[in-house]
Amino acid sequence: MASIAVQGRKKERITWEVPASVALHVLLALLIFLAQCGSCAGEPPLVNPDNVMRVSAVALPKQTGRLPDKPSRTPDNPVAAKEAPPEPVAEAPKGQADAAKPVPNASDMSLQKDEPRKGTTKDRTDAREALLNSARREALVKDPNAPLGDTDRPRTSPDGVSIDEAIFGPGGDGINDPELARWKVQAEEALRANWTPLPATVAGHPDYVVYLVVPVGPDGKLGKPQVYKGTGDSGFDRSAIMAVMKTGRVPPPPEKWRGSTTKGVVMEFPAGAKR
Amino acid sequence: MHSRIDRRRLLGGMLAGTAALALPRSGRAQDQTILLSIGSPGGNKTPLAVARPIGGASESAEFYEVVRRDLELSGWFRMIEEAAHIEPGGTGVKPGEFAFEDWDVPGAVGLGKIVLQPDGKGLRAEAWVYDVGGRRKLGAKAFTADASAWRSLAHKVAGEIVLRITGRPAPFASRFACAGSFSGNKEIYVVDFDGYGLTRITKNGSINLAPTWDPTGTRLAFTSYAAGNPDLYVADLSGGRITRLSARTGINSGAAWSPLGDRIALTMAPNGDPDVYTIDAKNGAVSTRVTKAAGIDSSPCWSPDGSKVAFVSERGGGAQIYVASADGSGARRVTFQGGHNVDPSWSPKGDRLAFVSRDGVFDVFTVRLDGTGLTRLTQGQGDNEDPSWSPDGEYVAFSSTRSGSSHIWMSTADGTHQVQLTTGKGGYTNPSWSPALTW
Repeated sequence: MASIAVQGRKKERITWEVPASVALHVLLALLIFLAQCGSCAGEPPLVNPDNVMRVSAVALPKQTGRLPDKPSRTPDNPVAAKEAPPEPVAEAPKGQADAAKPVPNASDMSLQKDEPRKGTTKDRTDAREALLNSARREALVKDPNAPLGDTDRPRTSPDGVSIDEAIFGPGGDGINDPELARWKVQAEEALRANWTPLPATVAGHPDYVVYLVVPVGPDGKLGKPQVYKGTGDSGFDRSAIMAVMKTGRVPPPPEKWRGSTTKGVVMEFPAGAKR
Repeated sequence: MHSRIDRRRLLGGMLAGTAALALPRSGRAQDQTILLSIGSPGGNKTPLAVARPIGGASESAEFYEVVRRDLELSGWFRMIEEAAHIEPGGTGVKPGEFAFEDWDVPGAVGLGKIVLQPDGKGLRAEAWVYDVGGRRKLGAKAFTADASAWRSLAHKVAGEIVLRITGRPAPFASRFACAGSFSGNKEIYVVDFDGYGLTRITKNGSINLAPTWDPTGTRLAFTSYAAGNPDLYVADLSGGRITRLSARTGINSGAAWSPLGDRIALTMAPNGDPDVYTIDAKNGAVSTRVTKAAGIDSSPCWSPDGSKVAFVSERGGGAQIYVASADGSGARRVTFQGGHNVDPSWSPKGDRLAFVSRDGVFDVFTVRLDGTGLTRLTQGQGDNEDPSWSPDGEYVAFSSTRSGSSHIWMSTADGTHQVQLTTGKGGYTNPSWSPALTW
């Protein structure tokens, strides 16, 4: 490469590359000028405008955070999924599975640690969602038919009492197991058919509730009832005990709940209103 | 009503108190506490035992049967058969004179014990009522009557047992007025609640229809063709006298006494178009013309407070039930289903109307005053007509041909318990349930 020679004191000297570069630029400018003059003279364009796709620039939708997903198209045909079942994933040994996971390096960890917690877009969305959900719950308490959003519907009482009071939900004990629910309905029906408290007591004291604890065997056999909380009216409490004794046996409880039922099931006998 | 929050706390307490009750703490599914809520016992009949009367009266056996039948008819009880009683006959009726345990064995929840003994020329009955489970007396009451009125005495005793066990009065002491075709003609009769004690009121050999009680239970208004025209008559049951109250040209029928007994609503057609009028119950003078619309308006009945009248009108095409103020203003339609709804009867509670609808055969329904809550009481069992409410609003009586000839039947207001009250060859129509009677 040519260089600026320095001999004795500093002195700049023009070499042959400079005029060559100037000449090349001039030649390029001349060629461009000639090309423009050609198109102006009515020659066909290089690209037919009819074949050009017009694209409008639009703003991308903002990230909506954790708003409820709504189906936007018909779900895939489950039959198709059946035809091509996914390859079963072989469970890797613990050590291999751990090895397959990417190991976070020091910089990743420092980023997570140093990332500001307040004021991010995600946090603002979370706060907004929490506020919306709170409003939805309030609306549900006032109006059971209000839009649901992602509100936890089963935890909301259908008769409009507060969510705290409806904590047990329809099952009464917060256990959501369809098999257990079916057994409970059958057992309750069997017990109800044998419960005959004095009608005058029922009519006069609709607030009476007696709670019994009754072991239920794996075959559905009812054990000796214990009064957990009585009403003070021995006749009414006795009617609940008699209902258990007359019933004797209910359908066998679901297998996975037998450990619990054998230890004792809580039975609630509310007077309510008769006829 | 207990609150749910209390239940939650209670169940929480149960979970916390697992050591004492050997209940598991919540944790794995198998160790969670399960709650069964048995719900209201509505619909279950109360097991009731009634011991045979003691006291030595000769009417004891029949008296006992009348009491038992009344209690069965009420629909409240599952009567425990006498064969299941283990208490020896003749055991005392007062607390301490018998053992509650003897009534645990047959499964009695309620217990009735009766004393029936001669009292001079009459009879004295005592009803003692107990809560077997609670080991306590619910009440006791004594009644006296002439020996000839032993059936009435039995109805009183049965009513006392119902009152003490259910807390509600029973209609056993009431009667029905009805039109009966037992003698070839249609005459007016009065019969006891249980179908006994049939008494003829008219004997004119003509056609007598649609009797209705006045609020005191001492007079009956009815329509009779005795004079050739369907005229309105009033029978004074205490004096035995029958007077013609309205004999206007055309029909004078479908009478209903106002709650105060001072007016009678009825259908008349002095100018050819049947309309609902009210007349003075003493002299028959017209008080109000309730309906003026074109077409037939008929079959009035009063609301319990006397402020409104329900009636049948064809102003909308078919026969439908309407309600208007007693002066005729503000008429509005109540029934909308079916093309032929007739014979309204207003519940003493004021909340519902019983009526008859024709859907091939005639059936009895009830409906709220705003037209909602339509409830069918009868279906697929002959013709069921002429509904009439019990004085307490718990039952509806009607005539039914379900057993062949027409008899008086009774249903609970929800239709779940229906029984035939009258027996014999039949021919009972137009039953009208009396108010609670003292005679």
